[in-house]
Amino acid sequence: VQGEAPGSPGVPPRPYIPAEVVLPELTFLPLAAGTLLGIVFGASSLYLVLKVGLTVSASIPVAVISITLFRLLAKFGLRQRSILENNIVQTAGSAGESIAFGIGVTMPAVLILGFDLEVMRAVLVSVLGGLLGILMMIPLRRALIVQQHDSLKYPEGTACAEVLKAGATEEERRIAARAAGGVVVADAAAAPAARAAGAAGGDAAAGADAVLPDSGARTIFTGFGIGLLYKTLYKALYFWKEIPERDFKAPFEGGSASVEISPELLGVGYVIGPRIASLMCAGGVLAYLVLIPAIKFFGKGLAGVLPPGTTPIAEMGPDDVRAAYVLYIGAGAVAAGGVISLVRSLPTIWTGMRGGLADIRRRRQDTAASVARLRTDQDLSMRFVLGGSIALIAMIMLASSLRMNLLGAVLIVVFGFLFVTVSSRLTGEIGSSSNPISGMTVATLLLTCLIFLALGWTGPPYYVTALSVGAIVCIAASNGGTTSQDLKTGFLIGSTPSHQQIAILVGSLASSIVLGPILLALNDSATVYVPRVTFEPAAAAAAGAPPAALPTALVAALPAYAGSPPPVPGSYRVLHVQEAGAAKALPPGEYLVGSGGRVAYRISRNFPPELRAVPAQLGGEETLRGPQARRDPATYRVWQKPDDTGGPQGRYLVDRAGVPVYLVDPGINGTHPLRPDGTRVTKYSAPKATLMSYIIKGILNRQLPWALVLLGVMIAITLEMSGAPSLAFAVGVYLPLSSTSPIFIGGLVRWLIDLYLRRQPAHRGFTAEQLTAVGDRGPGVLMASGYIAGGAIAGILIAFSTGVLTNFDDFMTRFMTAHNPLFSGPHEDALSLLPFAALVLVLYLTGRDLLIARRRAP
Amino acid sequence: MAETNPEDFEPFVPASQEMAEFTPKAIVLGALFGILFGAATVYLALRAGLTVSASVPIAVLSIAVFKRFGKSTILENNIVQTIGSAGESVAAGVVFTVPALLFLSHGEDYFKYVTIFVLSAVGGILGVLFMIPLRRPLIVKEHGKLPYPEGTACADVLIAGERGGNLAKMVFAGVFTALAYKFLYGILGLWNETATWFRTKRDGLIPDATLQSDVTPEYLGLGYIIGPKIAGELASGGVLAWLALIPLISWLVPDDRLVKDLSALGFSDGWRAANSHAQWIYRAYIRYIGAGAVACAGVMTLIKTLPTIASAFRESVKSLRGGAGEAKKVRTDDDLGLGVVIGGSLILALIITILPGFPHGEFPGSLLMGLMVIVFGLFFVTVSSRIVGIIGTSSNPISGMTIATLMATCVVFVLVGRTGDVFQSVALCVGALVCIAAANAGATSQDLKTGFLVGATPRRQQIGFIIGVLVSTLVIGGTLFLLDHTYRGAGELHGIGGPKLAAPQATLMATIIKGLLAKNLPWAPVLVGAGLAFMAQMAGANALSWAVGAYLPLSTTFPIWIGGMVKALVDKLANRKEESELSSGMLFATGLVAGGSLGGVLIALVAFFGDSVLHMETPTLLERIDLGNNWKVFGDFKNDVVSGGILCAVVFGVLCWMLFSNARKKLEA
Repeated sequence: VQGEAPGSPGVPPRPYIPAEVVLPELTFLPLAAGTLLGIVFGASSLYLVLKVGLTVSASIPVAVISITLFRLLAKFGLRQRSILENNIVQTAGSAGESIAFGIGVTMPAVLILGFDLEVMRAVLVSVLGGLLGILMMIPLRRALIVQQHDSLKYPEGTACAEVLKAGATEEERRIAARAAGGVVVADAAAAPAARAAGAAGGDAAAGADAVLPDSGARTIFTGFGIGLLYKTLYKALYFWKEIPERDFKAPFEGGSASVEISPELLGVGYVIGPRIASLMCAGGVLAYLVLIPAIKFFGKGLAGVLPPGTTPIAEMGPDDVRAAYVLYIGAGAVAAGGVISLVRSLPTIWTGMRGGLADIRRRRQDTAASVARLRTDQDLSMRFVLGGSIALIAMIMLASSLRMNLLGAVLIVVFGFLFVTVSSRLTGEIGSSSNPISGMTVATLLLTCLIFLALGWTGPPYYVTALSVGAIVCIAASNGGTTSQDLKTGFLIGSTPSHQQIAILVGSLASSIVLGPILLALNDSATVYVPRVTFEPAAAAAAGAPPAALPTALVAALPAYAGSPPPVPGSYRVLHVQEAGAAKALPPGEYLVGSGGRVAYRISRNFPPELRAVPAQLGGEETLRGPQARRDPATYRVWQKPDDTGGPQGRYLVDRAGVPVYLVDPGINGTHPLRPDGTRVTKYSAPKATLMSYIIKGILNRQLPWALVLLGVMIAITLEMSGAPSLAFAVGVYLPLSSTSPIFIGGLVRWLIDLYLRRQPAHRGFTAEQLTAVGDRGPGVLMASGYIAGGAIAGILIAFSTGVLTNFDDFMTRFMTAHNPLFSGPHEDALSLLPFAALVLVLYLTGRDLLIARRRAP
Repeated sequence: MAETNPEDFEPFVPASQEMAEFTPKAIVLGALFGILFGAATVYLALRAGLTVSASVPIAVLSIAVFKRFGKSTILENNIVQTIGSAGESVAAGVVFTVPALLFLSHGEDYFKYVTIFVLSAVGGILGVLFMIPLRRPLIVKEHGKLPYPEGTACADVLIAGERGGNLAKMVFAGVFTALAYKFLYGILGLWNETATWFRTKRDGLIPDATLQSDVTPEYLGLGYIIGPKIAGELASGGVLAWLALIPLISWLVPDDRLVKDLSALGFSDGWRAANSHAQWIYRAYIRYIGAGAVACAGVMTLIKTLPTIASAFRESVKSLRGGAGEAKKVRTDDDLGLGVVIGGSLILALIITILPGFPHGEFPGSLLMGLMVIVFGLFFVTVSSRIVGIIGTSSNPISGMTIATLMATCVVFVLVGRTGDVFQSVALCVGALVCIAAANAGATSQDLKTGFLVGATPRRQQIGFIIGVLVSTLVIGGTLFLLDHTYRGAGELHGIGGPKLAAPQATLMATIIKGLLAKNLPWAPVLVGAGLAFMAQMAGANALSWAVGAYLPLSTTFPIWIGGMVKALVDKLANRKEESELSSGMLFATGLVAGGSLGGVLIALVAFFGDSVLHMETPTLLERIDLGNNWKVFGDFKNDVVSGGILCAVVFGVLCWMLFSNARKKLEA
């Protein structure tokens, strides 16, 4: 029946919708809906990648939402949309996630390297990288997707095609059945056909277990609603505490455990599964239950300050130890893990590359002989690809904020083409989730930096050049992988490739433009302008019960306090608490004691008073942004302090006399969580971006705290020796334990569900991979995806609203502190776990198919 | 054959056929092997905290020896194997527990030959006795269900030996290679045992990072036998301790505090002068971190195996009840009587409660101890026997069971108010007896399975065991003392607990007892170690082997890792996933372990001879033979860090290559 090109190696299967049937495809509404969904999932992915350094695939949730949405609209009298239109929605919508991953992994490194995160820079990098990835994939489609249909499975793309087929209309099913050569017996024929197609794809379970989109979408939306509501309740309305925690007392001083009870992290843990989830959390356990207590125990006897710390270890709390030492160890581990994973995937990358290049060569011979193209075999023209690429490169060269030069542009083209090919092949073999994008970025950065080093280009401007090369290649490779999954889906259901390519270009462009500003806004919302001295109310520092008044005799012996005045002025005396034993309720640190022996504040000295800006290094003028702008509307000049002499390195705001007033602690990878008014912010850790910045810094200026970094390298090696992939573990060392512990809980829930699935009689004799595949299509994953999207979107919206509804926010904080035992009180930590337990239970029951019962395919 | 009714199972030698079995020559040879492998096991378990099953190598050797010196029947070979393997399991049980006496307060008073002899004899015989009523339910009734992997492998070896074939060549090649290698460096002193391949300065960027390796054949073979996964876990714990934690601590802790902490632990100025700064930190802090990790991992292992233990016990009790009313007595179904079992165990329990000089407290109260030994012993013998039936002797969680026993005993002692110093030693003895009994029961069941498959007479096997236990017991205590004496460092009373004889499991037992009864542990490092164990478990490693690695010196685990890597390479080249016990590489590696361990004991004997018989003080006998001492140029060469390290690397490389090329050979069977 089909007019397939005879003689092509590995005869491709018939698409679901045959080439000669023309259905509506690239229409306005699906394109708009896809772009919009792409932005939503892109934003939530960006939020996640900043928090924990990973994202989860958006294709299937977008496809499910799209089918349901249009079905709903059809009930209101709009036209029933075709399967091909749904595919366009899914194609346009999937771009956001991959671009967000690329940005989140690379761009925050700019901040760590000591530069500003300008909007234009972020937008340009993502637009250029995203579009370049797609354009480079266009000539690869025929080679990788069509000719190697049998050998490259593209698991996510195949799964997505199954979802789309399950949502096909009756008419489409008839078309499909006729095309398949079967007897036309209404729609029942479609199911066996789908199953046969699944079996042909080497995945017998695919058809049988595909979730019907109706109940699937209900699950996603329920999850989305729960995630959104839950996050709003605690994050904006303070119904309960965000991070229940517990600091261990002596003898295990310095040890602490905490869990950020957020829906999105729980969902991520469920989706990535128990193995990786527990590996990440194991890294957190090493940092919080081994390294921090060990440093505290062994270092508390040291008399002076041990650099890179700024206060004696005896006076540090767990978070201070982490910021001063453990973060460097974690960064070293992440860097080593990145390089090790690169080395490990080199053989894969090499075969991928060789195969890809061979395919291209073969294709060039084929094109000469090719005749009129079928609908399902029409790509965007080669002229468009070449012209577009050249235009993009020209833009890269011209954009001054990228500090690009000719060599950089050449490197982008070389590495970009190399790694887009590799990425596309690897997603075909092992799936998007296992694609070593970080490894390829590390490789790009390593080689770029080494070339720069050889040329003697080691000045700070070249950091940005190197990072821009790495970022564009990273985004291109990431988007190239996603594009290939989408093209595979289209190939299976019979889409027109050129239409898909236009859709993903539009989706990428839109997401790129929006994601840059979101990145900046997230950073601003958690940025703290740190004054010279910070005053933390003692009650907050002592975690719960306010410390009792000190005896008068003791107070009289203390030295008087002279320095910048605290929020409530008065006469104070200074108390140094060395060990937790001295004054029972107080953690170690420096305190101000007010009248009557009441301990009022814990103070931190952030930079020395005698620090002065070097006039030659002063930059432009700036005002404060975010919530602190309300209290200080003055204009300052920016001073980028290049080294550690005389005070911490970083970005300062300086007054007219050249006196530094604030140290600007960025929201991404910052270390000061406390605002001057005593409120706490949750910082974004962006672990992978740290990795990139360390590679650049390590090669180009070689100014790293090497001792700690090398310790981290040793830890990564240790993990590899005991057979665990060190990168996931190292990321866990770098992240706060509170971020990885909810992921671990999510992984445990998934483990329980997998255990249940393994015992099902229907799954007897399945291999571990098949079982995981079954779990990946289950309702639990859809619910978890909903949690992720809902929680992340709520997080972004709340981050945007900081500084807008400040009066309401102040009122809620005060009210809840006074009246809500879950938010503030002696048992706040334990009580806050209750709502989280409910969240976990809902996820578990959904995973067991008990909560939102789904109907199975006939 | 496993599918047919087990009652109708036809062994290799049918029940109706009588042949020579319990002959004097078999008993003598078995006792000899028991002594050799017992002594070798003491050496290996003290140094590396690991043991290697002895049944298969003994069976192979027995066939070879009898082939050369007179004929033998398969049943005689089986008796040799049965008697000989008792030494290994009893020695393992002793070494894992008894040295803990040295770490307990006043425990040293009980660290005497007689005490160790009584402990091992009583524990070993209890294990055999308790196994007698369990044989029919576990070995016979559940023949199809419980594979007993080592026992089956051993039966295969015996049957293969009967049909001809030459497995012993590989084992002998390994033994002689190892002995020659040991002789060259241990007696002649051609190179040093420990190579320092990497050491940073004290004030360097990374202070005190050290990579040392003992270039010994027994570690190499051990690594090959346990395979790359476990070897990697062992060594990775060591890498973390020596290349990350010691530098970190060295960076943080000023010397005056370190010296103070070391003197509090009893390390003299002389000891400090003789050892490196990294070694100071290891002894002052890492030991506690490691012990905390091992203790925490042990408890986690126990919790993980609790369901298995419970169901194993339930199943055994069930089948015991079902199989009671049987009266069919053929040769292959003839056990020692139940009277021997009950009477014997009661007498043994009574002996340990009243024997003078043995830690048990005042008499009427000491009956509690006997009761606990019987109860826990019976329980864990049942469990151990069933678990080795499923997963094999090497994976048997003996240390987990011992920890459980110790904790339960300590809790009982705390409840009845017995927290005095003497009860630390009493609790340890309860743990030791149960540990030895459980370890021996595991080995016994494997041998009974072998006997069941080849058609041996159970009664003769059981008597053989008791002989094996008693004979090997004679040398186990002696070897323990010999090694403890020989491997002392400068300024130390005991070698056990020192760098050469780390005795990780015993430290763990002492840590648990001290923590529960005396409550005087330095909790901060112990808890840091517990955190490490959690981390390893969550990272998907086997927490116990990882934690043992963190406790042991890296110089011990690193050569084991190299052995594991050789195995990985061989497997990769041969493109296979699983290797049976009967491959050429495994046999050669077993030979290396046996030869290396025996060589270690022999060297200790030579040193002892010079010390106690010839009364040579300085230089000692070994120092006089040592070429490096007599020939100064060579001594400087081999003791220099760089050239000595290269020398060790070269000879060890040659050893690795021999293992590799032998493992690539096809086995002529």
